[in-house]
Amino acid sequence: MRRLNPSRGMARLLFFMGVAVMVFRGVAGAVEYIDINNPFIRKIPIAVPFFQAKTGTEVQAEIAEKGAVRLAETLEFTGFFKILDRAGFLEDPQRMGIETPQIRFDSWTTVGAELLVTGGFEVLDGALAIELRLYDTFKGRLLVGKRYQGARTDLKKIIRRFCDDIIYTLTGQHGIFTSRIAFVSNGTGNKEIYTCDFDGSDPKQLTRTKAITISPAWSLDGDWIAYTSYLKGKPDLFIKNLKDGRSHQVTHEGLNITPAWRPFRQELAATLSFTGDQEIYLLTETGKTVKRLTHNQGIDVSPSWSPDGKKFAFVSKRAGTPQIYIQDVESNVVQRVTYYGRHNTQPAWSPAGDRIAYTSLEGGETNIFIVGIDGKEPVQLTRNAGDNESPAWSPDGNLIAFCSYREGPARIYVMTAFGTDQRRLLTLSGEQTDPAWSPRSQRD
Amino acid sequence: MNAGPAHPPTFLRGDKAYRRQFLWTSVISAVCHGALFMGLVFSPDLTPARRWPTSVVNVSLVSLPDLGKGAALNPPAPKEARVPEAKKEYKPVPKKKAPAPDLKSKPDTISLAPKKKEAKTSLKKKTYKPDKAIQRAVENVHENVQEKAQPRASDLLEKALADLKRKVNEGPPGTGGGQGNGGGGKTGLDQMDIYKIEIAYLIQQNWAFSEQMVGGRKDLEARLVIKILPDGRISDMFFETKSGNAYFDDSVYKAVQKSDPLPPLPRGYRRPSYMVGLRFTPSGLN
Repeated sequence: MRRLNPSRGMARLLFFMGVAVMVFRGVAGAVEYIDINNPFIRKIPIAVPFFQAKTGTEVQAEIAEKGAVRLAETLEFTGFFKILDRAGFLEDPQRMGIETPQIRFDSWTTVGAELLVTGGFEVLDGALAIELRLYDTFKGRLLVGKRYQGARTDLKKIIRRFCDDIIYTLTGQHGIFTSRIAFVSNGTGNKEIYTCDFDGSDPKQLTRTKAITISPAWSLDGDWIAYTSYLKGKPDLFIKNLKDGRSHQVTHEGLNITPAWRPFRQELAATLSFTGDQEIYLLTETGKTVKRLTHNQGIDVSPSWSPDGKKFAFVSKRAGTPQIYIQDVESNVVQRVTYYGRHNTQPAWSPAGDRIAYTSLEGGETNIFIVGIDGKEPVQLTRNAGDNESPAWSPDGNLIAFCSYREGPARIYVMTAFGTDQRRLLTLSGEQTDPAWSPRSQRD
Repeated sequence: MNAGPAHPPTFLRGDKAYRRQFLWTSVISAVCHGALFMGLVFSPDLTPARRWPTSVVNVSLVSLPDLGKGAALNPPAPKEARVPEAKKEYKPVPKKKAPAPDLKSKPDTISLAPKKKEAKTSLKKKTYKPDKAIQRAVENVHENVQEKAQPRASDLLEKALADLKRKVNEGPPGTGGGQGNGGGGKTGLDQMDIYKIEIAYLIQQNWAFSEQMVGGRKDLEARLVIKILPDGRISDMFFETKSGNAYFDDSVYKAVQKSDPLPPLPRGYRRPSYMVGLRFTPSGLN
């Protein structure tokens, strides 16, 4: 039997003890870390001083102020920015430099601005020339600068274009400034389809059916709009080209409702009930039936396409209560998405493809939720503010338009995709419901 | 007859040689364990300065639900003198300033203030009491709230207080027993822990980040290392790792720039500067 040599054992132990201490000291000597994981300011502080009139006449003061205010409001609408109060600025907008060498960036970082927009313009014979620049104040660097020329009446369009440039510079994606929102209003006594700009400005009546007209849906190129109308005493589908006025109808027996355009194809899904059972069908833009998509006894309604057009979300009562499901168009595989709540409807698939917004009736109150397409982590976006329904994603996926009864009559509201910054989009006579956000226009 | 089974030679029942071997082994083992334990506790420090704990402080300052809550925390009159908090808050970072003493501005104020604080420091060494540390930390945080005039700070204070209390409670058993003769033994919380909470709070207050800008991504992480001089100025800062998202990295860099200068290092800290890492993640959103 091998005997232990006490002195050798002691030496070994001391050796291992030394190594252990060295390791301990090595770990302890590393830089220690403090976790900071909850930004206090959720928006980017940006300064937008009044524009500078290069020719300096009194008349141009209006453009200098209105242009800057409009630009600030347009940026603020996105939910990305916190517009800093001009009263706190340390620079006189009419005397400060608007180009890199002349700008005292310390003056802007001192007031908390991380970004700065400067503008200079001149008006000659009704023509407007305007230079707009975006700066990173901490780096003292020009991020984007553009010079625009147009008529004075083009100021709004110019400012929106520059706002889009700002968003593209910061995020790598275009903004929502050329998109429009369709909605239903009964201001004339009948429910008709209206459209307005993304920020609620410039509302226009689109249909004059003098009948109940609901559920507007935009095609991917924004040229077509489909809706349901009771023009003939029952719900039929109407498909209208906004450019050339062509129109088509789907007037099968029974219901013809809830149209949804398929991305990248001139096709749309809609719920038809000519077989006696409400099923979702795929239709051409002219209203011809391509194929039946759902095959289940019971209600299947409200399709909403995934961004790639390969799947669609819809509402079905196949489990006993209305819930959101996803179906693959090719394989017909169906997957249930919502499990929380007994009444989940009106799905809207996000442009990023990862989430679905929907309406849930719980405790006698209707609210808007979003959930991952895997059904995990449903998040309630509205609460304690009347009934809220009909979510519609902005084309960049950052905002959600919805209908709310928080003021009594139904109004269109907008919030960020996180449920923050909820505000009314516009006020018209009557009630407004069913918002549908168009894609970005390629023409503007 | 029943002679019983013959026991094999073991350490307890064997011959003397076995017993001796067992005894030796036991003694050696006990001595080595004792030495290992003492080595870990009192391992030699290369520098004569006192040892500072190297634990990671996990500061998760909670988001504050609404602006209205901050109104109740408006400070009482006495500290109204500090007006230009906004200017201080957004002062740009001085680049690589040497840790030379600020001879122009300090002499007037140093003569009074440090004396009091020295007394506190020595007191801490002899009879360190977590309650006092908590009280002082809360006072510091209160001062910061006054300086920054930030709304919705009450929740943050509560959270900081809760963190401090938790840390005190998590101290090694026996150290917080209130015996009074402990000689300033190590507890789970000391001045540097409080200091780290303070700077985390300040930087978090200056961190402007729009989650929308990054499409709601929560997997971003950036590690920034900063070097703090005794007077609180940041003499150096660099990314140890970036998140890969330029906007996120910019936002955390600016947050630190805005927070410069940080509060002075605790008076008991004797090294020329304090290097600490900041790990930013947007995970606290929503």
